[in-house]
This record gives sequence, C-alpha cells and structure tokens, in this order.
Amino acid sequence: MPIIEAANLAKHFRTFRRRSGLWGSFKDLVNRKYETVRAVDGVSFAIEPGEMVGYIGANGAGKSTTIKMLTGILVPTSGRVAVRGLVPHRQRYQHVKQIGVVFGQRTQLWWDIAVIEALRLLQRIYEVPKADFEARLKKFEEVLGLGDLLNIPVRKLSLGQRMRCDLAASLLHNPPVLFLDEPTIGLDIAVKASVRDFIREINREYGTTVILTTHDLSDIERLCRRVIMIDRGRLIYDGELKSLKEQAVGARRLVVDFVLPVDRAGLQRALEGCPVELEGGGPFRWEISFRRGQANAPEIIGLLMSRLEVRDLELEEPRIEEVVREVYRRERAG
Amino acid sequence: MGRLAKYWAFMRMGYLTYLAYRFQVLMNFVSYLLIIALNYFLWKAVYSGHREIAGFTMEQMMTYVVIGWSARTFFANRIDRMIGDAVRDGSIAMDLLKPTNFQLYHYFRAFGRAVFMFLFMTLPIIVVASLIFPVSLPSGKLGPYLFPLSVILSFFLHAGISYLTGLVAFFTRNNEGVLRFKQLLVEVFSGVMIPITFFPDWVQNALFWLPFKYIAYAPLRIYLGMEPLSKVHQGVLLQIMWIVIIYLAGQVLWHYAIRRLEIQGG
Repeated sequence: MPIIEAANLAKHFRTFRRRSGLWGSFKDLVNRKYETVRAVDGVSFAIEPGEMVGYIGANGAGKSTTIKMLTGILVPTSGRVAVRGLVPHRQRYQHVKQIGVVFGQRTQLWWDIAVIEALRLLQRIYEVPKADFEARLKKFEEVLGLGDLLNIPVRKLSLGQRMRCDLAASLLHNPPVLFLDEPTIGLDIAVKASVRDFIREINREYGTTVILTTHDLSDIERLCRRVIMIDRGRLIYDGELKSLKEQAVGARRLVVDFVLPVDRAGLQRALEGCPVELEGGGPFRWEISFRRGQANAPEIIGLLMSRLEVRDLELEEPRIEEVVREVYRRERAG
Repeated sequence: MGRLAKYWAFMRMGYLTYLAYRFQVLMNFVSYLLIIALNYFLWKAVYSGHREIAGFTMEQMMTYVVIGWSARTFFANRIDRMIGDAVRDGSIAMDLLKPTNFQLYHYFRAFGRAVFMFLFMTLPIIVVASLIFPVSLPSGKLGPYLFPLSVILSFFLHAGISYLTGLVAFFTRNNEGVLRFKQLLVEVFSGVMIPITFFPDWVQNALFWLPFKYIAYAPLRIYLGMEPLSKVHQGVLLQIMWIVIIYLAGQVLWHYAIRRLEIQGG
C-alpha cells in the first residue's frame, strides 16, 4: 500500500495584478484585477514505503507548493492527498509528528538560541523519550559531525553547518517520511556529499521514505531510482531515472576554448562526420552540443585535439530546464 | 513529559531568545525610566493646586504611573509582529510543521519572554523608580495577593488580542496597519497612559464592554486598593472571561486564516 498518495492535487493562487502608473494605482483601489496562478494543477502519484523519490522541475514548476501540501502547510484548492492515511492539512497535529521536513532555504531551528537548546526544545515538542533522543543525537553527531556546532547559536552557523543541524533536527523523532526541499542548495561539494551520504544511510537503516526536490540533477542521481517531474504545475514524467536519462537527456554540451580564432566552417571541417550542433560563440570559444547515442564526448574531444589547438574544455552536465524541454519534445513527437 | 512539557519548552525558548538581546533590554530599561520621569513631571504640573483628580490623589497617581509602566514591560508582547513577520517572510511554514497548538505556542513563547522581562525589566524598574519617585506599596487586604494574579491574567488577555491582530496578516499579507491601530487602542484604553476615570462618561461606559481596560486599569485599581472586595472579584472574573472569549475567537479565526495562507516560491 502506498505511503503517500496524491490524486488530482491542485493549488491555485489568486494574485492581484497591479496596473502601472499613478492612474493605474487609482484604478487598482476601485477595481482590482485578479488572476489565477495554477501553481499545481492536477497532479497524481503514489509512493511506496522506503522509496526515495526525486521530485524535480525547473524554478517555479510547483515543486515547493506540492511539498507544502504534502506537509500540511498549504490547503489544496482541490484533489486528494494522504500520507500514511492522514490528510495533512486536516489532521495537521498528528500528521506533522510522522514527518520530517527540511527546507533548504529556511531553518526549523530558532535563530537566537544554541543548536543543542533548539534540539532539546524539539525533543519536548515532539515528545521524544529522553533515551531515544540521546541515542539519535549521538548518532547524528557522529555521522554529520555536529560535535563543535552544538553550542553555537543558529544565527552564527554557516549554511552548510546549519543544513547539517537542520537534517539532524528533522529526524530526531524518527519520522517514517522525510521531505527534503532543495536540501543541497548553496552547499559546497564536500557538504553536499556528506548530506547525501547521510540521507542514504537513514533510508537504508530506518526504511525512511524520502521525497527530495531539487534542481540539481546530481542529487537525484546519487540518491533516487525514481523521479517525478513537474512543469508548470503538471506532471510530465513519473518513472525510472535511468530511462529518463537514457531517453530524454539527449543533449550534452561541450564548451571549448581555442588558442587561435576558429570560424564556423573551420570547426565544422574539424568535426566532419560527427553529428553535432554548433551553438554560437567563436572565434575563440565555441559551444558544441551533441546527442547521446549519436556522438560521444571522447570522440569529439579526440577530433578537436588532433586537428585544432585547444586551450581548455569543459563538459557541461544537462541542466534541468533542458531535460524538461527534452521531455516535452519527446511527448510531442510520440 | 507530554503536552505540559511542550509548553514549558516554549516558555524556555522565549526566555532564552531574549537572553541574546541583553543590550537591547538595557536600552529599553532606560527609555522606560524616561517615560516614567516624563509622566511624573507632567502629573506634578497637572496636580498643582489640586488634591484629587478623577478620584486619584497625587500619591496614587504616581504609584499608578510607576507600577503601570513597569507592569507594561511584563504584559507587553510581540506576538502580532512575530506572526506578521513570519507570514511575510514565509517562515510561518516552519511554525506550521510543529505539532502544537499555534495559539498556545505563541502565548507561552511570549510568556517566557514576559518572565525574562519581569526579572530584568519590571523588577529593576520598580526598584529604581521607587527610589526616585514616591511609590506606595500595594494597599488593602487583597492588593498584594490578587495584583500579581491579575497582572498574569493581563498578560494572557493582551496576548490574545495580539494573536488576533497577528492573524490578520493571513488575510492581508501585511498587518502593520492593524498592528499600529491595536497598539493605539491598548495604549489609550488599557489605562496605561491615563486612568479610565479621566475619560468622559460615555467612553467609560463603552469601555465596560471592551477587554482593554482589564489589561492595566483593573489590576492597578486592585494594587491601589481602590475597589471594594466584590468589585475586585468581578474584575478578575471579567479578565478570565475575556481571556476565554478571545482564545476561542482565535481558534475560530485560525480555522479561516490557515485556508487563506499563500506561500509562493521557496
């Protein structure tokens, strides 16, 4: 039986559209023009216990709004939502006890008090038995390296330190479901890695169901087998990450700097027989995009190195916006 | 353990938060003394040639001012501002994720602050002010006992009014206007600035039906021993009644407020 279910879930915001200018502001006073923003527009999915699911989409796609409905912060405009049989916004009190939540851009700790005090407060708020609290704290201390941070007021922590503390805080009551909204945003690579390791370990050890939103595809790659993709409030993909990558993530991009100026024709000659697209740039820097299956990076790099003088090159991972565009293109085609 | 421990924890948090702002508290301490001094000279001028105005002697008036403003440091709260800020910057989301009664969470968090204020503002101000200005001890048989109880009730009454003001932010996004208006109502009609008996009769009559005067005026009358026993009991009961009414109003309003919440983006 699924642990999380959403059926035709929708959240529409009514926003007030301001007219410009002085006259416009007078008109606004008398006659307001509203428009409806369909932040989430009929999304359905089901998640099984113990799954780690990536919930992805570009900025403003509706990821956070969905998470806020699943966590009971926002009341849906329509549709059904249930987490372990509870309706989040209706049974908020019982519901929030069974979930852990981390918002990358916010903290659940209190700015002015030391981390350890904040954690003790959470222990009381969630009514966690003292022995369990001590045991979990000890474990989190080890795995997340919280040791020195515990006595520092939250406002003095760096982003990475704060994120580790927030992760610990969200799991003190050992929730069966963990929501992570952009947990790695703004973190450096080392902290990102330790955060991912921690999440994976929690999932393995406690069977915690994890829903992770991000616009960093590498988070998903390290953690999730399944992805749900949303765009403009609508679900556009739900399935294995592997097949999404194989099928949809076609376009990759290679950025090359040359020692001497190279024109389009020259570059085309150098890459003769290799199906690539030249995406602007020149004469010293060119962006070369190619599709998986038609060409590969070593082949292109080999050709360039042997025929032209290359100063530097960089292989860019596909951005989420491109993946979204690719999924759309495939939908239209098929 | 259990729920009681939870609300104890909120108090502790409120207390600890203010421990981080000791300098700010010191500055507040100085401004309160200045306000009391200002009032002293003002009333001294007003009372020149009069023995009693609106039922208050000069001595009673001075005690009223010092105890009133000191008590204000205790029963004042920032609940309306905190809810307004949290709605505006979206951190309200984090509050909603805690398994608590939002209203009691704010009441008790503010009460922790009030305990801090009592220790580091109210008491020191009373001590320093009574060295400088003539202040009398609580009068009557009940003054010393019922006054503290009544001021604690004032805190919860005022907390309720602030909470309702805070919830307005859910409907209007910005509750600054309502917040200022509420502040004005409380300053003027609670009796902190001037005793209610200074107002025309029709205002006094109207205030009987409103909660404001039970915040400061009623407890101060108890302190000064100006009420007969029956009236003292009535005053405390009316405080409790208003606390309950406003609490329930808060619960109902919350039900509608939460539906109106919009947090877009991060």
